[in-house]
Amino acid sequence: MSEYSDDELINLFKTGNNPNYAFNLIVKKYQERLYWHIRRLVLIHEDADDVLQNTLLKAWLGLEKFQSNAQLYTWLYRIATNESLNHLNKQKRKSLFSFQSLEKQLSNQLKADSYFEGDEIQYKLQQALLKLPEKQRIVFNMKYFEEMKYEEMADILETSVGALKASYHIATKKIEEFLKSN
Amino acid sequence: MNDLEKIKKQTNPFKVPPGYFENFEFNPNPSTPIKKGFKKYAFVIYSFSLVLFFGIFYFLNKSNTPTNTITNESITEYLYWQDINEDDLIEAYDANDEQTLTASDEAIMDYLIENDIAITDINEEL
Repeated sequence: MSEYSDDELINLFKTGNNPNYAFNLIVKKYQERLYWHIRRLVLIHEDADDVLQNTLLKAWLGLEKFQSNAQLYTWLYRIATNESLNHLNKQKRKSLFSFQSLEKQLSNQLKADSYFEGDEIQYKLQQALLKLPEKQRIVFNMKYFEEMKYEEMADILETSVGALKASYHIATKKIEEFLKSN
Repeated sequence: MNDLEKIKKQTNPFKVPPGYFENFEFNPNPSTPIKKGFKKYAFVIYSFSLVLFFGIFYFLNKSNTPTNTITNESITEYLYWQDINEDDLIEAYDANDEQTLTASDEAIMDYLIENDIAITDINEEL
């Protein structure tokens, strides 16, 4: 599977007899990275699974028109980020009808989630992350957990390296302050 | 070493069900996830429409229901306060009756001739 480059996979999808097969190769290549990117944003496994399915569906529908001058990996990450943000926005709208903020809801869900095995400090880090604005949280996750280069992040998030550095710096400060005070 | 550096050295706290990535399947059927979302909304819209429909039906019916029924007592009371007595009513009835029974003079004359009724007979009767 890994012997195929992104360009080869795209060509196979567009010109081959079996686009399903080609797309499944793309899924196998990127599913895990995309999943962890989504999971760190939406936190709950079931939600991450749904968002991943939606991400792949959007990619499936849009791959025919995909321009090969852009990187497949960057494009998929962008879709995954947008889908995660859409999911969080939907949850926010739902939380308007409950008496709990989304931050509180996710924090409680995470505590009860059988697929979260973090200790106290890891749970506190997630709480601190939930307090950040979404864009800062995305930047922090990509840099801190996924160890992405600022240039890659700039391509995915369609912003400047300088803005990303500033966002990461502010996010780190806020998290450190939260961890100290709690 | 600060807290963030310590946490980074720890293992990933997020887990997935066993075999999740190995058994992961993507179903490229565009209807599946979209339909799921649509169904959720359809249920909400359907419920809301039902409530709205019955709500409107109930209030319209309620407002159309006459609040006062006409009883003999209410008619009597109305006539009393409007100063209308029994004679006025009979007069009004007769006037109405005359209007409906009005016949032309020519027709009356024809009737009297056909039945051989003299004017004197009528005067006697009156």
